[in-house]
Amino acid sequence: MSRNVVNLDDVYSNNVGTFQKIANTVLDVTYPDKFFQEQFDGGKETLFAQLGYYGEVAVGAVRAQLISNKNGGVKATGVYIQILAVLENYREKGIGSQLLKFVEEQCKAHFQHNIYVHVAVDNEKSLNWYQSKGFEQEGEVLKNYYSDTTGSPDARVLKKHL
Amino acid sequence: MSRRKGALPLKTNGSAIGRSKEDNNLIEALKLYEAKTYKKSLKLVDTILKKNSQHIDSLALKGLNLYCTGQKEDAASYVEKAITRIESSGASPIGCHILGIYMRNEKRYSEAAKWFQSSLDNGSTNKQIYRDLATLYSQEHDYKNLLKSRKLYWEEFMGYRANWTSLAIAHELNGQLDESANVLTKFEELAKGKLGESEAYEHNECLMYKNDVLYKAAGVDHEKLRAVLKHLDEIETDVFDKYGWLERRAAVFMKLNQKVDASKVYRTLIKRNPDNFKYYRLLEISLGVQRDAKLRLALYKKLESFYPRAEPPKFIPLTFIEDDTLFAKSLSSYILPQLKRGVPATFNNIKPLYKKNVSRYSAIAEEIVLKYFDSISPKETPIPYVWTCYFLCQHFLYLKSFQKAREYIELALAHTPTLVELYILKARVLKHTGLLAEAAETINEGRKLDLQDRFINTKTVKYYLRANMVEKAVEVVSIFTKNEGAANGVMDLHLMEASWFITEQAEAYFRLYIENKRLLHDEKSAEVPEDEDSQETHARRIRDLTYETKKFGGLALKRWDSISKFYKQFEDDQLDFHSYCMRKGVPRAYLEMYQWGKTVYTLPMFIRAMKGAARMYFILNDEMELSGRETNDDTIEEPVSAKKGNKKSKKEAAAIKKRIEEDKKTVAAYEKDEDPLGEAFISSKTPLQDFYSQFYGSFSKEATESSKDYILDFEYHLRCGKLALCVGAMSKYAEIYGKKDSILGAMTLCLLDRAKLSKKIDEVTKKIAIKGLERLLPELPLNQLDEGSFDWLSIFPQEFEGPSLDALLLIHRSTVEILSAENIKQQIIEKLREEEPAIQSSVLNYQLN
Repeated sequence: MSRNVVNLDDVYSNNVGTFQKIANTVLDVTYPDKFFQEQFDGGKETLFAQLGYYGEVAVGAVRAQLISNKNGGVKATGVYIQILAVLENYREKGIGSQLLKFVEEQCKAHFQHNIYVHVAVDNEKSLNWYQSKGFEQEGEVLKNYYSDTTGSPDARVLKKHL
Repeated sequence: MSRRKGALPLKTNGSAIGRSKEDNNLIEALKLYEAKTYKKSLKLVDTILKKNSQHIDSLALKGLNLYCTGQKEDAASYVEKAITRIESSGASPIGCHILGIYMRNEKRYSEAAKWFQSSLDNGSTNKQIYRDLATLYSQEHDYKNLLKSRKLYWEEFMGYRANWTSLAIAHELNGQLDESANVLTKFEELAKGKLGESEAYEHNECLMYKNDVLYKAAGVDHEKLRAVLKHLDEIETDVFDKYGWLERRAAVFMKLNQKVDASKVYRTLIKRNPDNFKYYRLLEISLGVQRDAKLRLALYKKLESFYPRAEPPKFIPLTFIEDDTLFAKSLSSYILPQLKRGVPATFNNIKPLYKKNVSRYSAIAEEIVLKYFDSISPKETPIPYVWTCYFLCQHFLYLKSFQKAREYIELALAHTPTLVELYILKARVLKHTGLLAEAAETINEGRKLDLQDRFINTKTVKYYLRANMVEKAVEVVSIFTKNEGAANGVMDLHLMEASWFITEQAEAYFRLYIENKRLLHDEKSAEVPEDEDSQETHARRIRDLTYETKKFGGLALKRWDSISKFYKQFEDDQLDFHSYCMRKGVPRAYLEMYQWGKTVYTLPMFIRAMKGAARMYFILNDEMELSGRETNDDTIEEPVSAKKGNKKSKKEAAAIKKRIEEDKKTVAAYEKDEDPLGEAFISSKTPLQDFYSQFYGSFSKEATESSKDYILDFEYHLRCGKLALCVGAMSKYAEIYGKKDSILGAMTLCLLDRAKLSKKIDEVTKKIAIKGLERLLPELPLNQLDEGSFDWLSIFPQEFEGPSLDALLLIHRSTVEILSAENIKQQIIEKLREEEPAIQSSVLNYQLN
């Protein structure tokens, strides 16, 4: 194991509870249990997830989906970040950047050039963060995108071209 | 190591000439038995018995074969027959030997020894029997006979080191230390230069064992002690156990009063393992500084500079620094680096200080840590922040400031909700505030973070059981058990002798038993409703509650009984080691195990189960006593509805039957469990005897004066009506806790109550008891015993302290009728106000009925 303070590791069906905890603590949107179990149901090679550790504590989580089919509905072809979250007190320590780096690597490994992410319109912090990482707004605001949320239901689509 | 079924060579005694055909056939059958083809052997034996139904050896062998094929009852009857025949017509060596093996399999060791012995007495030339005998005598702690048989066996087979070692051990057990050492020496001389590398470890153990014997034999004799030292020097190169060697050397120096030499050895030991607290303490003693704080401090400063990563030199000074400022400084430099590194055990490390003097140490620690906590930011130093919260929560929990403890753990959880330790601690706080179900849910939330963490899994199970949520507990624990062929993990946990689970489950069942019994009582004393429908509901509820009460009570007793079985198993398991350890050449480990084996029934888990079972059995006993006066309406009626043939009632009966079957499946403890619900236990008509045979007998046999529980002893004998023994327990108790102790007062009242009111106990017994009591406590107003109006509770402020909560509870559960039960209850409730919520609710719910 490396000696760095920040490390990433895979998510397993045994510790997906930790993943879920981080997502549900940080994000306004509440995801159902089924959503987290999905990636262990088999046949979901298009989902990749990681946990980010600070010391030995899991504090960050990322999950992204590869959308490669031509008839993917509203979503464009590329890699779509479903969740990227870091516990509030552990931010600005490079954990989010590493998680994003992981997604970018996956993107390259699957010969994709675009990373997409949806961010609630009122989530200034995240919008700024993504923009600082080279994301740009794409298209119109999606009205009533989120259903089970305590924040704004509308989302912006951000895109980063690799 | 597999348990032998008695596969040992039965000598066939030369040729077959001059034998009856039966005997020849028997020898064939024995061969088949030894090849473990029991059924074939059985067939052959049957042909012998067909011709001669009284052939003793065949009867015995048939018994043994039946035993080995699992037909234990039939086996017993054949063995019985063989024994009766032997009594009338004498025995053959083979027959006796077979019976010995049978008895050993049955775990009736002293009888087995008897049969093996008579096999030899009747002319058996099979010398292997001596070894079996030795094993059995070891198990029975019969040292004299052990030595005899070890010696005889050794004389026959001198070529094995094991036989020399076992002989030496037998000598030692008989207190013949010099003989023991001589035997070992003789073997060493014989084996000199002939030992290969593979025997080096055994040799090292035996050498150290010999040193043990020499050391023990030396006592305080300086000359002999010097000889021990000399022996140590001689064996140094051959000994692998360097710690043992060094420790012995230091101990000898201490005894010889060569303290400087001893201190040098202790320093060597510290160098080898700087984290062993024991060596530091011994070093202090050898240096003679243990009473001089200044020198001690200097010593530890020095040691700390030698071993900067070791814990003891940092911690030990905290236990003796008197000056508050200096202490605060030292404590701060002890705690803060740990908090900064995020050491979870920081609080546990300083807990010994809290135990010593909570007000002094906790105040200083609190000031230091709070100050540090204010200085750090949750964002810049998240790890120290969260562990400091964790520390503060534990600190306030220790001080029983539950509100503050709660606040800090909530801060920590909001900060880092992915740390499993925080959930465990929060659950603990909740538990102490009496919120058992919430505690269980909290810890379960933590468990979900990492399902493969076995520690949190078992913790969660424990919390569920504490909250009486047995089903949930079983569901969670079954994640880690083997569940093939079973509904859940309960059976596997029995197989694995998982005492922690079985005990907790027993206690949960016991609480459920109490709860359901109370509900049943309420339902029964409720008014019978007017309309038919509610009448039916009422009746159904009574029936259900009756079933549940009996079920939970039975299960509680059954689980406790399992614990007693585990410990019996521990005792029996030693049997194999009496020869195995000799062959492996580990005499020291063997003797340690052997001494431990004498105390298995005084180990904490056994005692805990015993006390739990005592409560239940005492309740059953007391209820039976009461129902002797009234009619017993708690017996379970079969669910027969009033209107027979009624379709509805038939359906109901079927549903109940199904439910019982279902219950039986989920709680079964063993494969082919004949009484999964423990009905035999709960319906017992002899609860006190059951308690004695399962627990108290074994415990009493092994408990020493100091490990005996005199309150339990008192309560047991009180119910047996043996008042003189009660007084005996009281006087022993008084020796330990003093004659003013509150519990002693409670016992006095219980005893007086029985002496005055019991109809079961005869007058002589009562008089003896009163006399004994008079001698023990001469100040008691015993002349009031014949008065009706005396307020017996008044003896408390006059003669005893208290009454304390425990004293009141003892009176309460002993149904003392010379006092007002209602008054006692009120006083208990009054006393409870001083206790923490968890104790309040446990007493209210489960002890005040």
